[in-house]
Amino acid sequence: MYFGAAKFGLTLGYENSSITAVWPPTGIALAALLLGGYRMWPAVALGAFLANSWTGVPLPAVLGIAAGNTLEAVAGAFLLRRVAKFQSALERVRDVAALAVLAGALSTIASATIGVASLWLAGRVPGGELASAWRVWWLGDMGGDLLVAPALLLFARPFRLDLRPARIAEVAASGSALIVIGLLVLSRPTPFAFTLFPLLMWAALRFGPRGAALATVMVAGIAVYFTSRGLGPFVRGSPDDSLLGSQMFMGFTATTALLLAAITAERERARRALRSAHDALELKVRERTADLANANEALTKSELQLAEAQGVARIGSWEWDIVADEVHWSDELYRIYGLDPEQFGASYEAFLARVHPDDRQAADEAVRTALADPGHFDFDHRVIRPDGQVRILHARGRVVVDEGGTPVRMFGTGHDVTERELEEREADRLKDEFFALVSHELRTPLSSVKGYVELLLDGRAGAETNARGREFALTIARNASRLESLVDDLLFAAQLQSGEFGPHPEDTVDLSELLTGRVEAAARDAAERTIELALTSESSCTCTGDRDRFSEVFDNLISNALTYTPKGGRVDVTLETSDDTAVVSIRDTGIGIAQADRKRVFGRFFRAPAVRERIPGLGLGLPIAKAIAEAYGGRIEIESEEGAGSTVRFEIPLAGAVGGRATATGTAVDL
Amino acid sequence: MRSATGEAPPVVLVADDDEDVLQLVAAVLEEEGYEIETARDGLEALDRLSTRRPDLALLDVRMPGVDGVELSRRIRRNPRTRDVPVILLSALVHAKYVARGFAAGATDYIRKPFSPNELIARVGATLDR
Repeated sequence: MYFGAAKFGLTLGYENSSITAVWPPTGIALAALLLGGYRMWPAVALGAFLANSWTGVPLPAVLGIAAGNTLEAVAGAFLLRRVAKFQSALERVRDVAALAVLAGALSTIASATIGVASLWLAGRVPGGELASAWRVWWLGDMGGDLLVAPALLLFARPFRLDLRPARIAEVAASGSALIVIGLLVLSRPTPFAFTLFPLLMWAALRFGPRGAALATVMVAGIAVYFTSRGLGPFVRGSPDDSLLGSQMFMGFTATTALLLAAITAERERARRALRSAHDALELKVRERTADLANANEALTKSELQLAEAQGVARIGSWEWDIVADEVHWSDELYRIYGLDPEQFGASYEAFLARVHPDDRQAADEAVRTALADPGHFDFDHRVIRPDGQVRILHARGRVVVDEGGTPVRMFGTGHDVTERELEEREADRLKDEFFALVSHELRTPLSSVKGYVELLLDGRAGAETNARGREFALTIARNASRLESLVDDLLFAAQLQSGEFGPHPEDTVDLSELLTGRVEAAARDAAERTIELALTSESSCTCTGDRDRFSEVFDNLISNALTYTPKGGRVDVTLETSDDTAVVSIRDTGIGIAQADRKRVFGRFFRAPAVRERIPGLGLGLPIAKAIAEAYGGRIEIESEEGAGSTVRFEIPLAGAVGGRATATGTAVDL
Repeated sequence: MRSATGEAPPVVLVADDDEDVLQLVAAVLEEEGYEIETARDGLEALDRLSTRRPDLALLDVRMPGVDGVELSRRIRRNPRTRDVPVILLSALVHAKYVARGFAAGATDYIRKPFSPNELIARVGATLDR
């Protein structure tokens, strides 16, 4: 196929004229080698040989010409590929320039030199015409490279025809204008060939390299046609001069048109690159904007949810930048404090200033303790709103430390528990009222039980009983006493809670004597349970207090010890003095108290889960003992080891001791 | 412990709306030689007081109509009964009720439930017997 094409080209070229302005085979050969690779060279050589062998030139000259043509094509392809990194699309200025200089001007030197030399040696070219023949040959080959090669290269590449009607119309208009004007100006001797330039530019600018190549091929065809017939603007006195003019014209026309097309293509490429970069950027901006909008929406939504949740739960949140001493509050916390952000100083001191004066020190201490030992903390405090209303808050927080362990930040929540607290107090109040009522109502029938049993036992008012009856009456009396003490405890607990405990009787109590009596009273109970009950006491030890209440407390403590001590165990009651304090210890070898319950045993109605089912009681003994100890300036402590026993220490100031006298105060918080 | 000298026994007015307690007090004190007048509410007690001046009034605090504290106050206001000792008897054991009883003119205050022996002792002490 390449052979056929080359042969046809050569033949065609030769038919025009033995000395033609354009030598198409050069372009065909270059295109063949560029498209098909160096391996196409034999086809080129064979085509050149065959084509020239018909011209009547002697065989050695034909061989020389064929060798020159082949060398020219191989050299041109080599220079373009190697040196120029040629791209056949001709969309870069450098490709056009390389084609014009390396292939058009340089490689053709080989063919012209070898070809002319061969003809001269064969005697076909006279020595005096060598220069002129060389020039015609060189320019003719150059025309082949500049006109034919580009058209072949470009149309050999895959491309898409733009079939929009407007485009087709433009192609037709530009093509026909070129043909018409070309025929007009190239067929006459008037030097108006330059009028073709706007049309060539049109083709180059609007239709790119292909348009430029096609237009120049058409112009060249027309020019060659007329010039070869001695017509047109390039005709001069000698055929050589005529050829020179048309060759120059065509060479510059082709180069200019191709360059223009390449420049336009480059600019178009740059514009597209810029546009696509711009589009990509814009897309990215839009995507980011959308992402940001989504994130913002999500954030706003979750912030709203948080704010609503805080409002419903009445929990405000806060954060304290310790280093900068800046406090940030959530809206809900501002609502709880009844403050506007501008009213609040947003510092730690500003916070403390809002705390109820009675709670201020405790709140400050809680915070300082948390700072000294970073971690979680919580405390209750009241705040006073600007309108004077008092709210009760439960604060929780956590300290954040830096790498060095220094606290830098603290954050947490403030929970408005006022309503809950008030409800609890109201519930407590109702409960206590109920206890008071119940204990009163129980007392009346108890009076009868206790009174009549005593009549039976004493045989008064004509009552008569035998031994068995007395025994029964004793049981009734004992249970009546138990019932009475339960009722007493219930009422007393209610009084403690409502802050009605007092005024306190102030007897001088000899603890040693009192304890001796209490231990004796419990001896029978201990013996029944086979528990050893012993008292170790200092001979005399007096304090100030309520004798009856103290008796009750010790009865309770001893009874507790006996109750929780298994058979065969022992209970030791000791009385000692330490400085100006009397210390009564009741130590048992009982079941002990679980670690978790140790603090709670002083709470009203607390019953350890382990014994709740087995051992009856109201859970009031220890809280009453604690209240009484505190009412007389003392205190009560409990030490215990599960399974090994418990020791209760009841401490009370000795009579005449200085200080330490505190009064039991109601735990009620005044609002 | 009836007086051997034939002297008339002291009259004690006992007022309580609880029949059992009333009978208990009456039984205990009668055995001790007192003469007992009983009343089951405040108005009945007032009625008894107007017909016969007792040597001692033993009044329950909580009674329908006129309560023991009010009765005590009226006894003190009446010139005829002004000197009659009053002992209040009540299941209202809180110090504030006790204090209110003394403020109304009571001579003593016995908390329920009480022991018959305690009752005898306090009545005896009040009447200086």
